[in-house]
Amino acid sequence: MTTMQKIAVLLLTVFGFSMALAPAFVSAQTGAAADASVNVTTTGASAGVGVQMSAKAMADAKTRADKELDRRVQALTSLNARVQAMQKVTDTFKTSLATNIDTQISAFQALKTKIDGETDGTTIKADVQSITDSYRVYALVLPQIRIAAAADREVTISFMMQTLGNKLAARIQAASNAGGDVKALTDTLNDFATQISTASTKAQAAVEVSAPLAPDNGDKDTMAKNKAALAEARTDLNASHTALVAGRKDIDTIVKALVKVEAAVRASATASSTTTVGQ
Amino acid sequence: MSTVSKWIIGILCLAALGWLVWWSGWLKKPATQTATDTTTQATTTAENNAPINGMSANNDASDTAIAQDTAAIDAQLKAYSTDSSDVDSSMNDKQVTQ
Repeated sequence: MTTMQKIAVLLLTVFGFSMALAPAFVSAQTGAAADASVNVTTTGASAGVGVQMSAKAMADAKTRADKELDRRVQALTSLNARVQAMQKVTDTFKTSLATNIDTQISAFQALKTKIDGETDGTTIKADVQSITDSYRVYALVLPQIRIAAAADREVTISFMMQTLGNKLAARIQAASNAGGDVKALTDTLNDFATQISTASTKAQAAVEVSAPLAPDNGDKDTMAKNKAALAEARTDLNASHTALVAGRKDIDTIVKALVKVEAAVRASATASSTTTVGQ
Repeated sequence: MSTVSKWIIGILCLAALGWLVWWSGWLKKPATQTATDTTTQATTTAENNAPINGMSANNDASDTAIAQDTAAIDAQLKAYSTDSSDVDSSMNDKQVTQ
């Protein structure tokens, strides 16, 4: 396989990431695929120019390349583990992401092996250039999946809170049926439901705003749009988290108030029973 | 070919056909099939509704269950801190200068 072919395989593998982020990431994959030929052509043009490198310069270039490739492999390995722990996405989606991450890791490892064994300055320069070119995709896909993972956790917590909310509602209903004053409890329970809904909505919004992004390829407008969209997604994640924390406080409030209401109901029942017996 | 030979071949053919039908599962009784399907469906439903992340049973609203669920939620909120930190790291990522 020639250097050009290897670079093309590397870049196409990177773009495979976006292909896996369906259906929410459909727009992103389209943009990434469109940029593939641009990167490959640019790299090919530079590869055709002869480059003289000293042994030290070549060693330094290899060290820097290895460091960056190792860093990416480590980040992708960690990312893959997190993808496997996602709970509110389908197994097919997870498998698709994992497969593409594995492919990407293999491509980086292969490139590292190639660079380490390379002796030609021109080829090394082309390989190093491919690392920089692929970074624009890597630097976008990484936060996209991290945001999706964080959003998945927030939705998971929302589901757990919903389950707990149903139990608390049942206890409040039972206390009400027994004659307890549950007005304050019901108000807090309603707020709890609102917080859960907000958390879920904001988590979904974070994924939706970050998913359709395309690599900037050096375009400042696209770069600014991507930065703004990621910042907006971050704000949505924070809003979701704030709602979850508020919901968590509601749980404490409800549980403490429920203890008092149920105690009052029991005391009332005991007094009533005592009065009945005394008569 | 004698009449006896024809009978023997015919019986063998019928036996082979019967074995084929049995082997392919066509002879299963409809009632058995339905029971199997229902069991499978129930198992799947049970798995989907199974408590996750240390939560208690969905139909348990006791004090103990509520305490358990609250602790499970706290654990997930704590784990979210790592997710949040990872998001920040990924957004501020800088590549090693080549």
